[in-house]
Amino acid sequence: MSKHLVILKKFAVDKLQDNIRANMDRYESPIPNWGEFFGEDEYYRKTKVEIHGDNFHTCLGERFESENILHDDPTRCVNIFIALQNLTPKQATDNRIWVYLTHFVFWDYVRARWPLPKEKTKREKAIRTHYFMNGVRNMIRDNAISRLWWMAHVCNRLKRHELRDSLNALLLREDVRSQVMERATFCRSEPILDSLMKFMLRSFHGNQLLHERKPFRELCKVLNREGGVRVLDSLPRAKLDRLMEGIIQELEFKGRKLQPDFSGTPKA
Amino acid sequence: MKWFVNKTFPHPVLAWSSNPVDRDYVNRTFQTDCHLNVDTERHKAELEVSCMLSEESLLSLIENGKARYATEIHCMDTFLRYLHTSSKDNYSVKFEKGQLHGRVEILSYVVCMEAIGQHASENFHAEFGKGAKFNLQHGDVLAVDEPYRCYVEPNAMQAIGTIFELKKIDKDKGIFSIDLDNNKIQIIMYDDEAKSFNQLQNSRDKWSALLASIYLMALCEALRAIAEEKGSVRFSDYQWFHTISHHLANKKIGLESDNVLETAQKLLEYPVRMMLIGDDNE
Repeated sequence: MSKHLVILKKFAVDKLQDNIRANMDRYESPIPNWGEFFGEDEYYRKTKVEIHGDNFHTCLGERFESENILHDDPTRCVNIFIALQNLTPKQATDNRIWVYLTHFVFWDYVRARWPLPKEKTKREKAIRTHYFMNGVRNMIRDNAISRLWWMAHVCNRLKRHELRDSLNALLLREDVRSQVMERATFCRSEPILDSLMKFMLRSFHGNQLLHERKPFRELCKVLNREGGVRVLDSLPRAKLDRLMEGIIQELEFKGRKLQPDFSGTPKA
Repeated sequence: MKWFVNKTFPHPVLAWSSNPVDRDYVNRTFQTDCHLNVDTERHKAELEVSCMLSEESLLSLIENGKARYATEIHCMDTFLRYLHTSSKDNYSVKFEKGQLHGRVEILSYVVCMEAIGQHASENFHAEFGKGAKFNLQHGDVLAVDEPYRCYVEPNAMQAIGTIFELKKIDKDKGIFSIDLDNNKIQIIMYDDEAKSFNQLQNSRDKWSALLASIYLMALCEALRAIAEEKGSVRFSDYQWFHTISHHLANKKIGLESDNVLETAQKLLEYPVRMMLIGDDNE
């Protein structure tokens, strides 16, 4: 296995994307044989990006029984991030990397994590969404491999929190992940997200009420409102934490105010 | 923070306006001059900001440490949002390799750095009332300049590749067209021609022929449109426009309607010679 990251050439990405329907049998197969599809064409090249560690092609796991396929995403985020720790954010916007990895390296994982829909008419769209990368939103949300790296990249920037912990708190609920990763405003700000993660972690280890859809969305709305009139990034951490605590104290879930320490029995 | 021209605050904010009398501070300005210098070899960047503030009450707050100049840098593609503050009116912000890519937005402010009671100025707009005073809190915006946008691209050859995209249609066999009203210049052609175009890009010989024909023609169309629309903002929201402008500036080329063909060949680094003779550097 190459110790340097391999990427597809641009024409190869375009050719794969143009031939999804023609290749549907391959997408349905555990052994797609993409080399045969490209024939004599030189469809890939090595980059200068070094891969860290020796077991890159198994870093997302080797067996994907359905009961563990979702729960292990935090671990997978950490593993892919460590393996590709030499990737810069700019390089990580390149779809040639992620299309190569979904098709040639992590084929089994992608098929298990994002199985094709039963309805054949929906399969092409699902393949475009999870096997390819078109646009920033698709990059952070949908492509099966790039989303893992980007979630780890965002959490790795948080100075006060350990990476694995942050990912656990981020990925506990899909709605929370979506609110954090897909809002273009405050969540790209390291100081604001760092402060928010403090309470997300308390919630994760406590009664998890902040992770409920209604209170978390309300928190995001209030933060957006505050951030629309003040430069929250200019506040020191302690003040940001106090601001966040104040907002949380006003949140409610099923008629009860949230407590910022999130004590009490964790939800099942 | 997202900035909108019509945003209003519960306290005066010195913001730009085409009419100085409409500003919250009468006949006072806050302007910044921003330059993003990109080192394409080392893939690093440095933003230089120079601030010009003419409102005495705000200058006094800055001098006393109660306010600072601040610049927020957003890069959507790389998920970057960073705030730099300074007590000086000239400062620079350095970015490491790979932190910036694509569209970068820069917003500069004067921001309040602690709670301030009873902020006053002789230059408040009369609508605030004579002798008006305002309580301010940490993070309040006191002045803001118009957002500055630019694009960061790695190098010329990669940039040229990124400003074009292929669009397939099922009509008009044998005729291709160009659409400039998108983030990328769309080369529009019939389905099987487009498939062949994609395949030909893999071969070095055929790539140089494509560069000297279809890409050259498409770039000429874009340059002609820029030259004809000089001074207008028609294309200013598009990535291709900024990439081309960046390379024209780098190569010190003044684009005019009568030098479009020559300019396109310079930007593509002489594709006709490449096709006919080969790479002079090999």
